[in-house]
Amino acid sequence: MNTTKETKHRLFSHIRFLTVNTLAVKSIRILSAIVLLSGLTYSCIDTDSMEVLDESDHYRNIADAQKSVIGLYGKVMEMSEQLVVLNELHADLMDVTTNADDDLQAISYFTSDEDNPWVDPVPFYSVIQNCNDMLAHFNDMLVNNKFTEDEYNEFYSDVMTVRCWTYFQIGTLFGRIPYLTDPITSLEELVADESTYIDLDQLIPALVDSMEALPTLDQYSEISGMSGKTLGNYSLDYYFINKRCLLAELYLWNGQYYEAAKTIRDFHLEGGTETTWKRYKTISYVYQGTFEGAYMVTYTRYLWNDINSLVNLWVNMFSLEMSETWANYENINCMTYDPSYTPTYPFIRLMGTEGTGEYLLKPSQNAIDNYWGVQIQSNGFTFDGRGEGGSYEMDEAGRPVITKYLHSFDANAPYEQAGKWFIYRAGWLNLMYAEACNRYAETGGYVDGDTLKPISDYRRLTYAFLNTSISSEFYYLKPDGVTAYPSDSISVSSWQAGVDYPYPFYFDARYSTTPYHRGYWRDHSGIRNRASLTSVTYDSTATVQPEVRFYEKAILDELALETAFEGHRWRDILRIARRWNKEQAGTGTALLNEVIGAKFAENGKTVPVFLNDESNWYLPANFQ
Amino acid sequence: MKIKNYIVLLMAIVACIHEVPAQTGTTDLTIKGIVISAQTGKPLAGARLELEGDKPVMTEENGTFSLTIRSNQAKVTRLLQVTVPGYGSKKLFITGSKTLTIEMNDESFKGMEQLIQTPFGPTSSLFSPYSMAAVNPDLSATVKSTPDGLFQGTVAGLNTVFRSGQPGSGSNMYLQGFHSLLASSQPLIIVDGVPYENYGFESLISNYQTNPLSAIDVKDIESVSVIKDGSGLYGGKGANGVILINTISATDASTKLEAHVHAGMSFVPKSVDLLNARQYRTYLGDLLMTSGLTAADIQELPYINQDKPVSDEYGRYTGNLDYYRYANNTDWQKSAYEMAYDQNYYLNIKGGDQTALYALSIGYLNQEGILSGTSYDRFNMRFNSDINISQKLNAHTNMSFSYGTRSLQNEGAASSSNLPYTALVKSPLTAAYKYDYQGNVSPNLEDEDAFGVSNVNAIADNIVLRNLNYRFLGKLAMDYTFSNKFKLDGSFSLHFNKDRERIFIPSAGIAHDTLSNAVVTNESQHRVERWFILYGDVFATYANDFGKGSKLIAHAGLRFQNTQSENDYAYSYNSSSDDFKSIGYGDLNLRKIGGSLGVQNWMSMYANADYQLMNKYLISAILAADASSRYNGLYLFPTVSGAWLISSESFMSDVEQVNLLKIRLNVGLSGNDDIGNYSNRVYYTAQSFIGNNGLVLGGIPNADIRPETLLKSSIGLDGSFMKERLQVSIDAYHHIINDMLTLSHAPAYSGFDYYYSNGGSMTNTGLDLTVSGRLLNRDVKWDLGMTVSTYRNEVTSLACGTLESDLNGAIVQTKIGQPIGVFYGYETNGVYTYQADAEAEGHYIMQGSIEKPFSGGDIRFVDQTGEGEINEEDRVIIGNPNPDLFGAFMSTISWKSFALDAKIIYSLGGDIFNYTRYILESMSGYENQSKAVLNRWQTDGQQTTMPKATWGDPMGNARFSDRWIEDGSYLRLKDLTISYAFTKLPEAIKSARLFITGENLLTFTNYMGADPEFSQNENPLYYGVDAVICPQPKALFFGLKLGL
Repeated sequence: MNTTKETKHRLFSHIRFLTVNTLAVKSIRILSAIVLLSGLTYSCIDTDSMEVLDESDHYRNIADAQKSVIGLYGKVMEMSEQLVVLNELHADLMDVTTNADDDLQAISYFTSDEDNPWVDPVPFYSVIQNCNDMLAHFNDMLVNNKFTEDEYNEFYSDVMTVRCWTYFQIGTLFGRIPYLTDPITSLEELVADESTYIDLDQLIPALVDSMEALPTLDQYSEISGMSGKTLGNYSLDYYFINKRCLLAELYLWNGQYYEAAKTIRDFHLEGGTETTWKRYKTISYVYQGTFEGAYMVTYTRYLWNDINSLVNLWVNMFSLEMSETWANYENINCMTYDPSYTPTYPFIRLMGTEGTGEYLLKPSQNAIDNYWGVQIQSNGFTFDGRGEGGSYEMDEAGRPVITKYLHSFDANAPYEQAGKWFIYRAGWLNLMYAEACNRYAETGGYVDGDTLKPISDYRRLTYAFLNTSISSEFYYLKPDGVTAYPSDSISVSSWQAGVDYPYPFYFDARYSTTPYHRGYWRDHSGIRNRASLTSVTYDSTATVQPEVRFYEKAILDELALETAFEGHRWRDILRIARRWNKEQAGTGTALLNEVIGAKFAENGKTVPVFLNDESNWYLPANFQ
Repeated sequence: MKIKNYIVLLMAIVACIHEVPAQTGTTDLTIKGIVISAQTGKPLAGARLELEGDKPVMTEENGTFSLTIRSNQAKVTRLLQVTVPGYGSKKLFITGSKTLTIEMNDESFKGMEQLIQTPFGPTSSLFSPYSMAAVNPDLSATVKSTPDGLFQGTVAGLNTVFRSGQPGSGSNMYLQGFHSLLASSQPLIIVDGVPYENYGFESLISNYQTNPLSAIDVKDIESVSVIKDGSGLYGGKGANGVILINTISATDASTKLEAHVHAGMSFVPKSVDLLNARQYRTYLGDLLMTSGLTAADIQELPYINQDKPVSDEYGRYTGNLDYYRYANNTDWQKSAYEMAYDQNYYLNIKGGDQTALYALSIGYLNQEGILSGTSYDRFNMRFNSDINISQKLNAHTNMSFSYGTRSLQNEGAASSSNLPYTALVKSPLTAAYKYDYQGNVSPNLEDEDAFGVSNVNAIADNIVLRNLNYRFLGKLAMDYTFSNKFKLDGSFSLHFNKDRERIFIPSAGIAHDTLSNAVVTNESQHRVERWFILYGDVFATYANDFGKGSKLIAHAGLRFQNTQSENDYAYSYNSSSDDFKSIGYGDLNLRKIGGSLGVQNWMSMYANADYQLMNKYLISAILAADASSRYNGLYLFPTVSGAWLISSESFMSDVEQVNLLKIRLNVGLSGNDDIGNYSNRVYYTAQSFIGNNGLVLGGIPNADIRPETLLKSSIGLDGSFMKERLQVSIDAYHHIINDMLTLSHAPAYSGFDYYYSNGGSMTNTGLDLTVSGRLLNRDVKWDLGMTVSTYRNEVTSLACGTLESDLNGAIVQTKIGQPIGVFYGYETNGVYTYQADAEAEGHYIMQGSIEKPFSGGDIRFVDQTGEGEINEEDRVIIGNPNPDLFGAFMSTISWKSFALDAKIIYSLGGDIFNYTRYILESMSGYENQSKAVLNRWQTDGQQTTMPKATWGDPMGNARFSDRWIEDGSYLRLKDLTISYAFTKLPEAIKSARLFITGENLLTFTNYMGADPEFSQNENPLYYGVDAVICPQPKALFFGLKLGL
């Protein structure tokens, strides 16, 4: 309620003489009088909106910023259904059932057009535009001293991360997208501008730049009031997109492998130094099959060769409540949906067979047969605990059902839709690290010009993270040349005794009794070892050559086994295929044909034509 | 510019006629004449004749009179007013000298002059250049529970359609066509100078809308005027026209008491001819055969199997244990409708003294509905006063309070708790009460049946759907007269409305829909809606009489309105018992609450001037300047109007048969500000995040959002002929609606699907005709009136592109070049008599990637595109819900103490989508069907128009097509009243009148639905979509009115 000059100015600028030509000159004077009068009273016309919050009543203090962040993550949760369907169904591991409608069929078989509701970009841009609006307001708040620098840093970084993450998601799905960084404040800004469109080769560096420019890559602290915050029973820390995980993935896309490895290592050390031997170490530390925090596929002690003694602890990472203390051993970002509130958990409808389940999506036969079906356990059985019993199960009618998302389903409350959306977890992250090391090792040369430290040696870390473990890969050999006993062995990532790999390639996995030492990575396990699988080892007869590509393909396959249906698949295939094509035109396209084609072959369908021209790799979408 | 042209034209006309005749002669003139009674022809003595500006004279014993006109006034047109006690008064335009025979009629006679209420007080219709209609109802025998009934048909151009036959449901009113697509289309209602919000608020009860007019007792109404032209005085709120309602006031200090009592009954409507149990079982058997079940499977179904349960020697039962449950022949419509009774008591007292006058009324209404379990109770009170504080200062107060309780039933499209719908579709095999294995009936209500349909009796008896309405209006007005030229008026009012709704749907006998996260056993819902409106209006009046029939009246004022609204609702499910009906007993996890708050400020500065020249030329102008919190800036709404009283011209003075001839021209702009409270701003709405609310952007701000505008040009003619025994009024109008609110498609990168913009425009062109006259004027008096209205509506631009709306299965299309909301569907051409016909034609539909051909007994859809496939491309316009003509006939015949009043309303040429028939003839599921399906196609070669029955209707035979579009023309005897006024009365009683009224006694229509008169929603798109709405019952009332 003020009559500032600004208000009056606004008033005059908006006066419209609707029928001015019907009015005599004399009337103009009367009009002016009316206008003046209204200028005086105009301020009384403004209302404070109560149903909705007016811009002027928002972004006044840190509490408003918190409310915006909470609203934003509500919007983020609404993207889960589309993101999982587009990244998985539009790839090789997930398929439609006969219940699925034409729209889902089209996504699965690459025949979608831009009218398909699954490719509607509005929910994504809803998040992006909210981010743009928040970032602009945060800048204002900082300038107007409504924020301290520290508060600003945390809120700004988080929201920018959400925006980059969303852009990254849709950029990899749609290829060419409008890249907008300012909020829309008027209708004039809704004019289509071709110059705002960028393709993936421009988007990725732009996102890397945005992320590198963040004031902080750390998570929220007490300063913002968001760290450790719980809403209901849920700790919000699992919801905030992890900046380093996103940045590391972006680095891998951008060919910055050292930076990717470093960012992942930084993430391991987030909050200072390593303080626990459990978190993100994908540990294999279990004796009786009772330690639920170790997400292993294993066998009862001493019965390693008895298939009936199989203990699948791996599946626990999907079923446990996020409030469990060992949830954070594996989970980095994981959003829990409460059945009582919106946004409603979408996956029971899509994948479930009971209650509200419509059973529209299922694991592809390709995933069942060609991925999990051919894995060999270390005890010789052909089996992967992460497949049947891990990622999917057969129901009574003999249908494969994706169960990763159905662990919270309760047959006694069939209409309650509860569950989790998995975004980042250690299994995935450690494979990213393996990928980074594999590629970085390829750069060759020597660290600091010291010929004792060939960079190619880092591929041993790839092997350790993919297959076995740091402690089994990096033995410290006693001078006598005899392998030490486990009880006093010393394992550490190093070239040789006493010569550590430099950061970010050094892991202390030492375990010795005399002197007494327990390195934090002592119980680390490679991803395949955690699933009790035999190692994948390069040899010169392998079909995929050279070694770097062999391991890259092995990691891609391992990602399928480990993270199937979690919304990474299309991005993972695309990343490697693009990298290979850039390296040698056509090889990436061939990879795409091979990987994606397997699903089409299973269904007797024609494999889509992935020309070297990337533009027909992506989903069509209408951004206008 | 069109406006400019009109103005120039008007100026030219005024200039042409403005030549003042030169003065001739200097002798004074005399006008002589006689005043007689029109009925008897006898001269009337003591009649008072007042020539404008002169002293009055009285008639002699023989009725003669003589008036002297000074020579300088000889050529001036002057107004002569004649007043005779018991005969009312009369006005004549006099030019020059002549001999006059003035016929006086009784007070009930409606002559050429009517008193019309304007926002500034009453005015004579003779000197208004605007099209305005006065409804001066004879309320002595009205039984209407809401005032809408008064307007229906009586005002040409005002299309008043009752929403439903549920008690007190009110009507939707459209004045001169449709004016908006998304904003309100309802006229602004002003009660005693205070705007009433007349939006149809969302209710929890399906198809119900709060009717703000129902808070007014019809008998409290003193006058109503409908402003068609000149509504620009209300600026951005006037585009839909304005209805002014004034309530009771005392005219003099003597104490008068008026009592009114009536009682009535409404009759059960004619039931729909449905299949009986035997026919239904045969039909169901046929239908199920097409569902893939084998004959043996079907025979096992509990409602087909005829094996009665039999007990063996150990008391164990074998056979079909559900036999008695499904061995009935129930007419469910009997449970849904019942005879209803009404009663109404009303008393008003008027009186006062020299300084203060008051009018007080109190009323009670109890109205039952013909749908079982429905009723309307209302208690209303009103107190109006006029206080003379000093000679110059007056105060007026208005206070009214009304409390209404409604028990309602859900109507409209299918839902499990919809009484009229369920009564139609529920299988006749089922029973209302439980049976045991021996066929003994129990007093307990039967549960949901095997078809998933609720028990009609459970809905009728046990569902609670209650609406409580409180409305309070308080107004204080003061006026101060500075001189006979200047006056200042000011008023301030407070208006409060609260709607409280309570719903309980028990588990027993009712089928419930499932929630996304639970199975529902019972539901309770609550809603409270509050409106709080502060309104102020201050205006100054300047009036000057220049003599010789020239006058100027001008007003300038300012209005301010602050509206605060609140809407809170809660849904709760699964309380542990049907006896726990309160919202608090439901399952905590399933509870949903929500609500909204809204604020609007509106300010309007307005001015008008009416100039009258020489009793011949009238010119008037209005300018309103509006500002509102809903939009930025100030908007101007000008109106210019002119009229020429041809009958006042000297060359008309000898044309005896023409008493009045007036031509009116009007060009004006008004607005509609129902554009949403916040569309012009950046705002944030709540976003749920694991049970907490954060804030996210609420929409794309449209800073340019502005009120819709209606530019109206109209030309009118008012005439009075044959000694005022015939009145004719014609209005032709053309509306250009610009800046019509639309939802425009937003680019996806904005993060929104749509935004609000002023992206549409349309036109309305129409004609209103009113004719009334006194046919007989002796012992028997017969007044007959007629209104005829027609309009054409056309969308001229639409930023959002062609709109298709799915309303209860009807697809209505809004497209440039068409009226809004026409029916858009498939054209049909009978049924394929032979399989060979279908094969020869080769039409098919696509199911996924499979072609499915039509076969014998399927509907033969017209393949408009000629490509063989019947798909959405083959749709065409199959009907237009807008009537070609609508209006009413009104007749009053009186003889001695008897009077017979009748009102016949009609609507011709509008199409209706008959949803009820669509459900009852679609032959695709368990729903009971009408007898028409007995004629369904069953064998190759069968000649019929009814297709075959197929489970689930895979070929879409029942899709939205011209099969369901019917001509909705009707003519209805709406009201018929016979009354008798007692002449011999005891001294204490001043008057007494006994009456019998019949409502809806006769309806002529070819429409096959329950009632061709209905209006599901105020949004024009719903016009003509009839989805199971309670018909308006035939009713009979007996009443008595006493004056004390």
